[in-house]
Amino acid sequence: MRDSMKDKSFGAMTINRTNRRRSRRGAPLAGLAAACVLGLCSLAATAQAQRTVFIAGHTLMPDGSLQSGRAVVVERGRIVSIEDAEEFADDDASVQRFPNHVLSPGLIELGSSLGVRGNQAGGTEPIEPGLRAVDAIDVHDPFLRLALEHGITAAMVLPDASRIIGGRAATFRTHPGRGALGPMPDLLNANGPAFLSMGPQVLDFSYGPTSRAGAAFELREGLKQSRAEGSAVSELLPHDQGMIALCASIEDVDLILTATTEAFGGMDSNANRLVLIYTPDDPSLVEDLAQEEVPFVVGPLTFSTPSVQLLSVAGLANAGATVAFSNRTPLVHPDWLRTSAALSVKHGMDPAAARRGMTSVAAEVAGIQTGAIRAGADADLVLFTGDPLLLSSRVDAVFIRGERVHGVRPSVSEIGESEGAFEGGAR
Amino acid sequence: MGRTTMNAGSGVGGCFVRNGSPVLWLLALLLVGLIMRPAQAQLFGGGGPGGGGPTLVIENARIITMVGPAIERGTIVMQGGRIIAMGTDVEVPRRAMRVNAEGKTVTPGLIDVSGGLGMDVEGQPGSGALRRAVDGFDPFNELAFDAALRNGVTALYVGPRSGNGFAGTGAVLRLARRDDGGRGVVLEERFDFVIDFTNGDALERVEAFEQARAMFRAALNYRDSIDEYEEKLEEYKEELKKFIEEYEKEQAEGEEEEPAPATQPRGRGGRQGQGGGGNEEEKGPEKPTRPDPSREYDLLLEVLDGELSVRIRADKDADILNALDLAERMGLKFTLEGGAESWLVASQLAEREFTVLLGPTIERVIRFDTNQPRRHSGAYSALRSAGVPVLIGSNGAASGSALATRFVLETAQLALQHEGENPGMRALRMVTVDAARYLGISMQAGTIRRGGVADLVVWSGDPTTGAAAVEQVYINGRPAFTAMRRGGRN
Repeated sequence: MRDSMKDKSFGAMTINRTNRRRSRRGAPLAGLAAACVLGLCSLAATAQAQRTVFIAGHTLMPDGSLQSGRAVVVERGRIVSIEDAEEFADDDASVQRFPNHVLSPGLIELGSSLGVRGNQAGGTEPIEPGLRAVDAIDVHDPFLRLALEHGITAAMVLPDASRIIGGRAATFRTHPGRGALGPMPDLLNANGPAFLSMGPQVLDFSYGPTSRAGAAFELREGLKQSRAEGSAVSELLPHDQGMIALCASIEDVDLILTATTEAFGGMDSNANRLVLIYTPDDPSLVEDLAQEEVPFVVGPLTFSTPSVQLLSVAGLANAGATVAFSNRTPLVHPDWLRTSAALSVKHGMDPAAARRGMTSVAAEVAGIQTGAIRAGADADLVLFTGDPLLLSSRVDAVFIRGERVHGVRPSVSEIGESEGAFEGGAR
Repeated sequence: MGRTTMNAGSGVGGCFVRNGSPVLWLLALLLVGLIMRPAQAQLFGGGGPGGGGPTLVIENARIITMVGPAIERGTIVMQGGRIIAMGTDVEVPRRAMRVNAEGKTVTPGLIDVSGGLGMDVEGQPGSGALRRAVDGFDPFNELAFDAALRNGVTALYVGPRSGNGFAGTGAVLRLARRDDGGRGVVLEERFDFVIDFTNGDALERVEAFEQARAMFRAALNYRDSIDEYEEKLEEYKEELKKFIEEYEKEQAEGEEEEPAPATQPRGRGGRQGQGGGGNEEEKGPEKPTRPDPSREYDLLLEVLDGELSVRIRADKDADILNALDLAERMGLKFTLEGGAESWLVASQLAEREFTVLLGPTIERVIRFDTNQPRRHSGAYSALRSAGVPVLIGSNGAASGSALATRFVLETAQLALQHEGENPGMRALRMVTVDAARYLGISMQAGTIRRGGVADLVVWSGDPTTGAAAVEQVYINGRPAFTAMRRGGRN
């Protein structure tokens, strides 16, 4: 399985997409599609031969801080450098200035069912390692646009939470790509982390397991099978992008930690890499949780989330754990992703960590190369009217690979400072 | 009183204070001075404005006063529950407890114009014009107060729980300690009579509207019948007077002729005896019957006369139009609470110049149910551009979410996303000074000014430009909440 599909390099998008096409339509058509994609890419490349430079009032840096006076240089859809805005000089570059805005990496939603309708289970077996979330994505889902317009540029979808071992997560852009036959998913990671679930959904009285003990047994047995040559589980695990596990309670966390360590403890770091989808609710346990040194995916945190959960999330982050936010878009409005982060800050989380939790940390969890404004990353950028953590800030524009896909175009004249509309723009 | 004024704090501090020995007092002060942990100041406990007590000083803070420009590196001196000095050049009294708020921002305590905090004990939703939120408010719901205070909310309108039709009358409270040890000092016992059109399906809401109309009509009929009664009573009095005069005349005449029995005129059970013959028994005029007194009708008449303001809860456009219709027919003025779909009927609302207390503008959960109100993130801006006066509240009572009050600032921020200039500051303004003005408590809340009540929030950063944590809340110049550091229990 260590083929190009698992490549996490920047070519992953094209390669993955090609593979996906091949699996469906066969090689000749896939070849054609690939050629078209490449053709479009090169066409786009010639069209934007010059560099685009984004100079916003503040730029959200990889460490989560907001810094002023940064020039983000984009070429061929990718960030090539971050410069000092005052010293920056490039007569060939098209400079877009947004003095009243905050330039942020696109937000990443880790818990979405965006572009996915209905349940994503294959049948009734608790162990379904062959499932691939990528196969469920529908680019025509109107909620993808809603997410995009609220700053979410990438979404991770998981296989169904009713499967104890449920296949691979997938991450794709909320803005669809263009294929030979129309819009198609713009995949960022088709072969994401292996999904394990101990959520309440795994218990089902019609086909089992019917108890938590039963589910725990299935999990341990399933993980054991990963060592059996030719078993279905061994096709998935050990996975070089690690595992992401849904936990409903602290007991589930304990079980998942123990069971995965038993199974993959001695293996290389990626195979034993684990992310927990778990929102803690006991502030007294967060120090211990943080010592496990696994990233946590929390949320959505809303206006009805109890204080103890909000305090626990903040405490977990402050105790040193890596925390990313998820939102269950579109079941939950996309703005609640930022609200989750804002409420965590209100309960004591460091603002920079909260911003990372929606961007760079979320990208690490999803195994993708966006989510931070740094040289080499894709220029999936969002222009907020203020700090993304301030809930009165809104999205004014979204750029995918440096191309504006949402937002009012800056006009050369007329637009003043008063309406909070675009500043600067085309030279 | 001794217990309650002294013992709002707990534990060791409480013991010191109860003993009342001056030496222990000094010790306690010394302890506080040494540790400089403002939380410890809770041992001084309760006491309302003017209650004396220690002097507390917040220094080096950015102060957003809401009445002028922000003060950078300012000082606030609090004593006796009030702010006795404020500014950049303030002399700090000796022996004052000083809190260094370097890098922090201080704002007034937040205010929710449509909350339901502390109403958990009221039980099942129902209807009843005579219900009063102030009676249902639980002053010992510490969990609720903790949630509100740790998010910076210090005062609010508490509405009666949701119930179709007449829901009852709300109240305005500050979350200060009361003399009985609970929280919730009442500023206005009766504020806004609530008519609720947010429960059940569309037909049930229409029914509630019809019932409300019928009740108002019945109240007016009641008044008519009272008026009629009073008119008749006057007539009766006149007639009675005449009757007595005539009777006495007859008596006087009779006395001249023959002695008469010494009787009093009887007013009941007979026709008026104007044309009565000399030998017939005299009958007085008929006394009219007074309609049965009705507290409910009296209240509704107060509402119709504009003596008690009205707040109508409605989310769906059709219900809002019904509310406008009700107002038109009854000559009512009202404030619209909730108003999820008010943006759809903004022009109709603008015509009447009614204020909207807009609730949350984005869905918590996106549903595909036509009964679910269509919230819109641009609702505030749509209403404003139509000329409708708008404030933002948590809509906690109507939504049955008593704790929603804690995130009233965030609710306002989300609603103001499409406002151009400095929406963060406008959101704060809306839930402090504007909310206080609407609730008629500008003297007690909403601003930071010299001589004003010391209800303050100390934030880790500026809540108008980013997200910030609430580090401390002062009510009456005493710490009411102090955040613990680093993932601790609090």
